[in-house]
Amino acid sequence: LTVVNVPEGRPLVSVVMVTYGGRRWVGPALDALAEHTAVPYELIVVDNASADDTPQLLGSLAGATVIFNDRNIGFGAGCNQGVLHAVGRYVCLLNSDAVVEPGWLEPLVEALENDPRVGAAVPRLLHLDGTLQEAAGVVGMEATTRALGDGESAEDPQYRFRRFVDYGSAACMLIRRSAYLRVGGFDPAYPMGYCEDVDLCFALADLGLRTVYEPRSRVRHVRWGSSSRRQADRMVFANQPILLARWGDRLAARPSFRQIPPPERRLNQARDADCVDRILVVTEAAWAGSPVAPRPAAIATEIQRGLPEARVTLLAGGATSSLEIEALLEGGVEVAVQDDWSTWLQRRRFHYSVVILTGPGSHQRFEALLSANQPQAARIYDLPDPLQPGAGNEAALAWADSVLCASPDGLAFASAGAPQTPAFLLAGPSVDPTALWRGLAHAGLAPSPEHRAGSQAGRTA
Amino acid sequence: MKGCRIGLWGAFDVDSFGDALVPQVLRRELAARLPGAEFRLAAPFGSLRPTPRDGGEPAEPFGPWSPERAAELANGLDCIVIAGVDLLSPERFFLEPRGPNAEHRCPVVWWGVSVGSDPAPDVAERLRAAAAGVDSISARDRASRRRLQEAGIQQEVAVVPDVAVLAPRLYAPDLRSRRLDLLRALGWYPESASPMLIEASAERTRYVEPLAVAIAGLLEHRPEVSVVVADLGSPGDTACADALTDRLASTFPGANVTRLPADVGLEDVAAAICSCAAFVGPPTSAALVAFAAGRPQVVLCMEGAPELAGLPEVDEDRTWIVRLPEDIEGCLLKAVEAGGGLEAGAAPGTEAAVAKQVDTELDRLAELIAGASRVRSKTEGLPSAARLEELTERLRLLEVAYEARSRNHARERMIFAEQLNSAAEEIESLTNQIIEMREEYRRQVEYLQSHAKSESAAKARVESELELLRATKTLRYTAAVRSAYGRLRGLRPPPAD
Repeated sequence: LTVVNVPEGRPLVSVVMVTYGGRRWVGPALDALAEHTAVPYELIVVDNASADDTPQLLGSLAGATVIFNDRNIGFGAGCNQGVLHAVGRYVCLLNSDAVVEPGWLEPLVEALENDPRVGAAVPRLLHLDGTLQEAAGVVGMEATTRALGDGESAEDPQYRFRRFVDYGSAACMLIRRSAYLRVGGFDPAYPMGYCEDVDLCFALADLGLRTVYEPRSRVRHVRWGSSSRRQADRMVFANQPILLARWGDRLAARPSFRQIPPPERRLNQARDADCVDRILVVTEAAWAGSPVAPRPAAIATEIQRGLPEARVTLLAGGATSSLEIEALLEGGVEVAVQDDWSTWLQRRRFHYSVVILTGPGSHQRFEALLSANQPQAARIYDLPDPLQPGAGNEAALAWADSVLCASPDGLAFASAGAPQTPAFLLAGPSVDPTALWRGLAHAGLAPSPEHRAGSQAGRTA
Repeated sequence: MKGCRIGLWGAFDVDSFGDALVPQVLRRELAARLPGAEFRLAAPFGSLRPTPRDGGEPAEPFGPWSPERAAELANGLDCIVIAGVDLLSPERFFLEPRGPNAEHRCPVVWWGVSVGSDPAPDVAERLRAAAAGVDSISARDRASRRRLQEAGIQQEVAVVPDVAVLAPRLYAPDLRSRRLDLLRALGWYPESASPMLIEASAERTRYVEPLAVAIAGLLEHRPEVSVVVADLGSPGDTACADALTDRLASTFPGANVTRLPADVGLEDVAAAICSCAAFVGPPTSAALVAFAAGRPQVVLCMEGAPELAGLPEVDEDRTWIVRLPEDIEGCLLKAVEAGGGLEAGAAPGTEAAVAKQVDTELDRLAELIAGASRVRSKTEGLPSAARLEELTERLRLLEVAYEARSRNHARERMIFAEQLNSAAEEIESLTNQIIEMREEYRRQVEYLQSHAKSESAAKARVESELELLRATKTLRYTAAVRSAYGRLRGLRPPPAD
């Protein structure tokens, strides 16, 4: 077994792997790492006195730093020990039962390279059968942790959008080495393993560094590859009180996960707990094929860009065929594709701060549901162009707090139909950010200063 | 001051505790004084030779000196701080940091520099010429200050203690405690009592033998003392640590000796030093960390007086300077005895005064940088009309958004109040229904009870009439006939007699 791709120059990433038995998976994990890693990296393996023939395998490993401990010092301490030898700008903590897929590392590196506020990035973890194991995790009031999407389809859009998260599993986590060192690495208060990754991500957040979930990166992970479910449960049970004692204040406003499994609405509440602004963009199937069909996607994308900490959800009422979903998901927009909107909206009752209705017929179809489930949200109506008689635009104008108009005719129509409602011209299928934010300000939304600086740089370029 | 841009240049790429510590401490201290400051670190090799001790953010490599490269590195900076370097090193960027082509001649500061030996006349001339472009000079020891002055440098040269004295502040007690736990888990630090920590230094290799004998002598008296031999990563230190460990093992086989390897991070070394019972080593940065943490220490100065600023001002109750090998054992014993009564981490008065001295110099440096930054802002001009227009527009949007958000909050409160009222009305309605249902229940119970009572009375009347009927002569006299009739019909059993 030979790990290649150890450059003579500087490695960008230091991959740190802790082994403790589980020989069956160590080989495939190292093979996949060697095969699918194009970014310059170094490999550091810490063996915690494996009782099987893992040490023999590691002994034959060329081009890596391998440390053999004479006893099991635990996962966290093993990672800390490995990082003592790291020189890469980023450290990737990779479990010995995690099998990386092609192109796994680039999205994680991009996430850290492109945004200095990001301290760590985690991939989409899959079970060996390809179903989802974890689309990052959420933490409840009692410091109970839950992996999102466990056992569901890995391709479900609700688990494929980039977002800031409470934590991600240390089965695979890319982290700035400087940040890892600043927080002192994994805390040995969590003996052997489990919960230390949550603690680490919270400690990063205390430094102003976020953890990002990057679903473009895919890693298959054998759960409990070097232990058992029973052992894992026991360790989690032992470590949760430590987590709660340390971060209880932060978690006090979170929903309770005492009910097992927690209801979906509570998982959503926990997932979006740190999102002050939550914007729901609703579009309708009737728009499919129209020249302005990309408009709702452009609006959602621009809002997400301007408010990276916000949750922007695009509710596509059957209009998904006309949307470039992948681009939306990569941009961090949640795309909801459902048959039963009533249930979906009920589960998110009182969740959104702003609702934007776009497209002809959207008001007729969704007004009642939104009034019942999101009555508190500020309401924006995106007046379609061309204006179609009988499309319910008059009622929509009466419903809205402010109006975006796709054409001068629309603006005149809105001004005449609802003179008290602020109306703004937002022409074309692609949206002008300045005009959009002018309209959104009336719903209480203003772009972050960083976004303004970025837009300025983009215009200059 | 937001937006300060500071160039921090030095030999930060040398993988030793002292050199790696300098940028970490300076960044932390300057960032605390100049919030929002940005740092541009540069070193001879920098990221070309990253080390595990570079904090994860290796310095930018200088590259070969040229006017263009010097200008490229210096442009846009408010100040260049050249820290902790030996000015006799061949690195040209330390003496000519800006180059002749820099767009903006930002201030240059030599911070805690040293001059390792008396400079030759031509070198002195270079130092003099370089110093002419330097705005502030501080040396790390008095010998270096003397050499700079003897080279003809006219500016005031302050002596500032090594920033290592601020290391305990850089690594918070909680973090140090966690790192100690890791060191213990790895078997690199004793589990129980605070140990005596000995820095193995390549320069002291020749004293391994007397040191080992002295430690063995100490252990004869105090066998409970544990010893940590620390290898701080400078070239040759490992060999010295190996030799000392081996010698100790052979001199005193039962000694509790642990090795702190060169692999450990800066925070680990700081944690180990801050919690040791006593520190033994040469007058280097590690000794200053021990000094700042108030740890009793034995400074090995067998080849001359201590040269590092801070150490000359030692408290004689906690620091023993050894100039002769035969004095080592006695000093070790005193230090260990002093360590038993000191709370780990407490920095007594003298040490705090030295830290304050560094703080004062850092305050002065921060003022200089802030002033330079203000000058640069003025030089770059006031915001343009377009920028003002943008800011005005952004302010307007924020005002609108604030008002709208306030409206939204008011509406949310109203809607939640409505929901609450609605729920309260529902609760009231349900409560009334419950009251009515209870009343109905009570009525039903009363009715049934009265019905049962009248039924019971009727039954009693019938039973009474029946008894009277049974008591009549007709029934008595016809009993035999009725019995016979009954038997005939099979309805009654024959009389028992």
